[in-house]
Formats: sequence, C-alpha cells, structure tokens
Amino acid sequence: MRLGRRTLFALGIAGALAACTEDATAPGKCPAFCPGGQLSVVDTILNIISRDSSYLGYVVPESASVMLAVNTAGLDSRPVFVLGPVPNRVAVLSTDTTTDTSVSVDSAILSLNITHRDTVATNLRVSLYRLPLSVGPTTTFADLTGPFTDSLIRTMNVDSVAALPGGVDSATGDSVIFTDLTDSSRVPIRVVMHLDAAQANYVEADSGRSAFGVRISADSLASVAIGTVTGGAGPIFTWWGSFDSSGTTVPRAFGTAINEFNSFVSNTGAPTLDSNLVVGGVPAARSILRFALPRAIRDSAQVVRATLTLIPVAPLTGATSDSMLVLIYRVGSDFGAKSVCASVSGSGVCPFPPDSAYVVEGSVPIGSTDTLATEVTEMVRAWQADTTAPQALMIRQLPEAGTLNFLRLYSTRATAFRPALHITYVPRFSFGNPR
Amino acid sequence: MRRVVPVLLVALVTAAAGAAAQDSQFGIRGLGSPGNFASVRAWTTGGAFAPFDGTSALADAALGDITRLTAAATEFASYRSVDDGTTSSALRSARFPMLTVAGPVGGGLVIGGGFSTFLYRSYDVEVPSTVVIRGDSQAIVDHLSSNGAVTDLRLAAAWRFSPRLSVGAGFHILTGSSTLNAIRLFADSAQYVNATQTDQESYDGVGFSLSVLAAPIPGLRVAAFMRTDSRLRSEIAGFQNAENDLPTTLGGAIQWSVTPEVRLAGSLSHADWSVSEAGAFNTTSWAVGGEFGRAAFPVRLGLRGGQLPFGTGPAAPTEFGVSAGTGFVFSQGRGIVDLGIEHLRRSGGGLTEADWSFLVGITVRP
Repeated sequence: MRLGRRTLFALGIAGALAACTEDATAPGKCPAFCPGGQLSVVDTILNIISRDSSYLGYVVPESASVMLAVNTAGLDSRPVFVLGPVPNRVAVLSTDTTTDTSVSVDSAILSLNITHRDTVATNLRVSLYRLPLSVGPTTTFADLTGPFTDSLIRTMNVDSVAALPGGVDSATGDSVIFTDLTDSSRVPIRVVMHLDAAQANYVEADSGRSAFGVRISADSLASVAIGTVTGGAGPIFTWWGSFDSSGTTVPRAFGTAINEFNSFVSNTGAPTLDSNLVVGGVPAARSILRFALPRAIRDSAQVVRATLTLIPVAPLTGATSDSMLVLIYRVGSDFGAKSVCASVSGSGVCPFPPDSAYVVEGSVPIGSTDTLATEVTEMVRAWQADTTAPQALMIRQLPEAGTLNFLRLYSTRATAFRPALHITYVPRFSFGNPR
Repeated sequence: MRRVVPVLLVALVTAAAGAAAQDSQFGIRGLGSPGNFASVRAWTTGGAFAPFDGTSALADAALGDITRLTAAATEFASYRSVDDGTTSSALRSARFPMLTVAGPVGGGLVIGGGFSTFLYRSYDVEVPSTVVIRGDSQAIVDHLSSNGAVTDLRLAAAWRFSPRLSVGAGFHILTGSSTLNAIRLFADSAQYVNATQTDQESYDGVGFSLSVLAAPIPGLRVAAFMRTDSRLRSEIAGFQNAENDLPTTLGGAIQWSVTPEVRLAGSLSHADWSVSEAGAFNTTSWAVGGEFGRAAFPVRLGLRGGQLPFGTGPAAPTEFGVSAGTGFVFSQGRGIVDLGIEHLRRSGGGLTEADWSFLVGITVRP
C-alpha cells in the first residue's frame, strides 16, 4: 500500500505537470466582458503624392526584347534585322581536314519566333522583304518605304501552314511549330520559311551579309511580336549549298548567320512628355510617384489594404492582345530618371511578381479608360517597416518597348483626376486602463 | 480515507489530459482576477487555514510557526467552462502562482519572502463580426489577448512574542508584465492583410501588510490581518498608460483544534476594490474548512465564497467554491507533497464560469 500511495502521488504530479498547456481563447461577450476599446478600421483616399514625374528613353527598339510587327488600327510597325557574313566554305565530310567552297548556294531557312500574337487573328501572313545593308539605329520608317514597296521576297500564310498536318507545307518546306506545348493558348510559335537560291540571294562579295524586313497582315488584329537576340529568341538564318564530295554533289548547311542588328521601325512617334504621366511606348517611358505618407499612419497604424488608383487620359488603341501590362515597382533609391527599384537583400536585381513587397502587376485593356486600381499593400507596409526608404513607386511597361502604345495617365496637376492612394488601416489600439 | 486519495489522483490525471483557467473572464474589464495567497494545504480548506499557514502569503504573523528553513511552491492546472447564455467554451491554463521561503533567525524572529500572483491578467477574447469597408461587408475576427500577471514580491517577518502571540509585517513590491495582443483577422485574406499589434505592459506598485496571531485558549487560535497597497502603475513602451488605486484588505480568522486529528477554521475578509476604478465593487469573502486525520496523511475539505471586484451591472459577481485535498509527508518530514482539487463557480452579468482546478504543492524543509 505504501508503494501504491507513492505511485499515485507520482502520477498525480506527473498529471498536473502534463496539464501545462493553455487554451485561453473564449468568445467575447462585448462590451461587458471584453477589454475596453475596440479595434477599428479607417478607410480613406489620400492625395498624398507630393511629386510625380515621367522620364523617356529607357528601352529603344534596337535593345528591345521583341520586334513589333503591327498592321492594324492605323499602326504600322515593321521588324528589320541585319544578318552577318557567313563564309561559303565547309568541311564536306567529318573526316575532312580542309574546307571547300560550295558549287552553288541553293537555299536558306529563316526561323522567326513569334512570342506574342492575337490568336483570334485569321489569315496571318508574314511577308519578307530585302532591305539595304545600311539599315541601322538611325533608320526611320520613312527611310524604308521604298524597299518595303518593291523588294518583297515572299509571303507565307502562317495560319494556312499551321492548319496542315504537322504544320508543314511539303511543297515549300515552310512550317509552323508551337514552341510552348504547356501554353494552352498556343500563342508562341516558330515560323520557318524556306527561301530558294534567288530569294536567299547569297552575295559573294558581302559573304552573304543580308538585311531583311518583315511586314504582317491579317483579316484583322494583325499584331505580333517577334523575338530578338536581346530577348533570347532572335531570327535564325541558315545557308545551304551544294558541295563536291569526290565527284558527287552533296547538300550541306554551311553556316548560320549572326544577328548584327534587330530592331523595328514604325509610323508612331516616340511618346512626348506633357503635364501628364507617361508609361510605355517606344522608346519606353517610365513614371515615378513620390508619396508623403502621414506620420500618424506610417508610425502608428497598420495598413491592411492600399490601392493605387491611376486614371488614363485616353484609351489605348490597337489589337486586343496589345493590352498593356505595367509593373509598379517600389523605388529603392530615388535618383529621378536613374532611380532603381528596391531589390531583395540589395541584390540590385528588380524582382518580378508575385513578390508584392517589391513589385505588382497591372493590366490596361485596349479601349478602356477605367481607373487602373492596383493593390500596393505590401509596398506601403514596407515603407512603414523602413521609414528611411523612399516612399516612391516606379511605373513601367512589361516588357518595355513591348507594344507601340503608351499609357498617358493624369498626374497630380489634374486636381480632379490625380493619382491617389486608397488606404485602409487599423489605428493603434489602446489597451487602456490597464485593460 | 484511503479511498479518497486514489479518487482524487485519478481525477487529476484524467482531467489533466483534457482542459480551465483561473484567469477569470470577470477580470478582463478590470485590473484582473485577484490572486489566492494560499498554499495548496490552505487552498484545499477553502483558504480558511491560510491566515494560520506559514507557507501561505496571506498573514505574515503565521511565519512565526515556522521552526526551520522551509520552501514551498504551488502549481495548478485549471479547466474552465464559460457560458454567456448563448455560447459555451472550454478553456484551460496552468499556473505557478506562488513560491515562499522562510526560516527562523533566532530570538523568535522568522524572516520569509517569495512571490505570489497578485492579479491574474491572462485572457484571449475572440470577437467575430462584420464591417463594411469600401462598400462591401467583410467578415472579421478580432482577438484581444493578454498574457501575464501582476506579481507580488514579498519580504516579511514575524516575531513570536510567546507561544500565544505572534505579530508579523511585510513589505510588498508589485511588479510583472503582460504581453498584450490586438489582432484583426480578415476572412478575405486575398484583399486584406491581417493587423497585429503587440505591446508589453509592465506594472509597479508597493504595499504593506500587518497581522497578528493569538492563541487565547488551548486549541483555539485567532488571526487578524490587513494589507494596503499604494497604486498600480502601468506602462507601455516606457509611457504610463494607467494608474489605479489598490484596495486595503482587512480580515480575521479563527482556527479550532478539536482533537489532534480534527482541525477546523473559518475566515472573513473585506477589500475596498471600489477605489481602484469606477464600476469596481468592494468585496467580502469567507471560507470555512477542516483538516482531518494524521498530519502525515490528512484529508482536507473546504468551502469558500464571496464577491469579485470587477464585473458589469449594479451588483458584484459572486463566486462559490468547494475544495478537497490531502498531503504526503516523506523523507522524515523534509518533504511534503500536497494535492488538491477545487470546483469553483462564478456568476454575474449574465456570465457563468465553472472551474475545476487541480493543485499540487511541494514543501521542502532541508
């Protein structure tokens, strides 16, 4: 019995110690059995943008990630690219230690990566033009009116080829390949165009250096973006010739041309700065909004939602697929036009969505003048967390120089339509006495 | 008696696996829930033995009964149900509310001290509701919580003039802190970020206590005690956010040793908590209890009741408790483990609490 008592006492103490867990949450019967005071929410629209500015010239056509080919709604944009020289020599057999010149240059294959298009467009046609080798950064749309009128090489109906079995036209050798099988919208495609000897026109004196231009047309909504070397998907141009192999003529690809220059010319001018804010266009424009968050909010309140509201001056025009994506970055250092975005751990690399403490994405549809409302809650909370950080946001297009359109937004100078921060916050709760 | 102990222990072990809290809802709107300055031995007699118990912190004069260095600690697990008439919830908590150390220094003088919980200030209230933001109704849940207590650090002394008379006095420093949280959770977490505010509230104050213990006739002891505290000052982030007067407590008790194996006691006390803030009530508390059997393995029973200082409405909330317990002496009396159970019921303002507390006390006399 003595042992039994001890055991029971030990069990009792162990049980009591095991009870050292808490569950203290009870439904509040307020106000009788709740702490004094109540949490509240304040929702207000603050016109707290102290200064706003727009800057031009961030991305020019020759450094863009895409070449815009547009032929709709009065917009006309034409990709142009210059391909470097390719020596007309090749080791005919893999065991050969010397190279031979081709008997003849027979053909060439041009691959264009279309990264953006309107899938509703029908009868999309790509026309290839030969351009003068002098095409460069200073070449304008008007400068190329002649070549684009009289130097058509050939036209390919992309939709027709894509509709063929396997997307291959066995007669011409043209093909259309869907490059991203995971993309259910089947937007990205590679257009492969075969050129015969005359169309390819290998000029020995220039070692095959060539310049081409592209125009597109469609029943409607003719607007596509063709990848560039900068975007990692530039045009690929491969030369083919016939070579003598011990008395037998054999076909060989003797070189792939290096892209010397990718760009586009258009009939739209560069965005101009006025009293409004400008975003996008070619060359690309950016806008910066600088805020002065009231100290009462910055230091004491908890922001639970913050929405940046921007009102377009005029609707965007163009193909439906040309809706503009904008990125709103939190500014890390405000140096005016040379401002840099806030980056993770100061890495200097601008983050991409969905890291909403640094950047958020907005979309501006074609033809809409609806207010652009973008949630910037985490960025405003970041200003609260680091009160020394610039309270500024940078608005830019994604990708820059990705559409001909540019967005013109009302600035603080337009009192009735100025940008604003719609903010919802919980004021500091007073626990009271001492409740 | 041998049957009672297993029943108590089995009940303790069983209940420990599931869930209540001493931190009464009735303290949320006020300064808190007043602590119980009784050791487990005294607690299980309803608190009636506390004025005569040297390991309790109620009456300093009781230190005079301590003949050797003694340290005692109290721990309890509390399982509580709260019913506001429409909803009921089960809560649980564990507390370590008291530690006392005392020993004689010669010449009839005994010095002691330790800490005990003066006011329990832990709660977590959940309030669901709907607010209209930006023209839309948003479901929200507010959590208002406090985790902490006001602690009483006591330095006391008792002088035993004779076997029939002891007087005691104590100096009390009120200290402690609570972590306060105010959280608003939004059901629409895609649009709204939850708001969380955390503050640390600290407390300070001082108090003074006096007591006298007399044995006018053999087997009968009477005690009188009083305590007065200055005020409770609360600070958040270094800034004072409240200052509340604290009550003066007056009380008396009587203990009768009917036989060596039957000891009975009763006590009555009054505190003018109404000085602390508007709406607070003065309280009167009573307790009766007894200890039966051999000192090495007694059975204790007790009843207590009274009022609570903080509540809503024109009348003070009330409480009534029933307790039982026992003790186990080991190592030639150098160690004592006391076990107990108390069922307490509080009601007022439409709220009812039913509380089961399981108590463990350890006393060491090296």
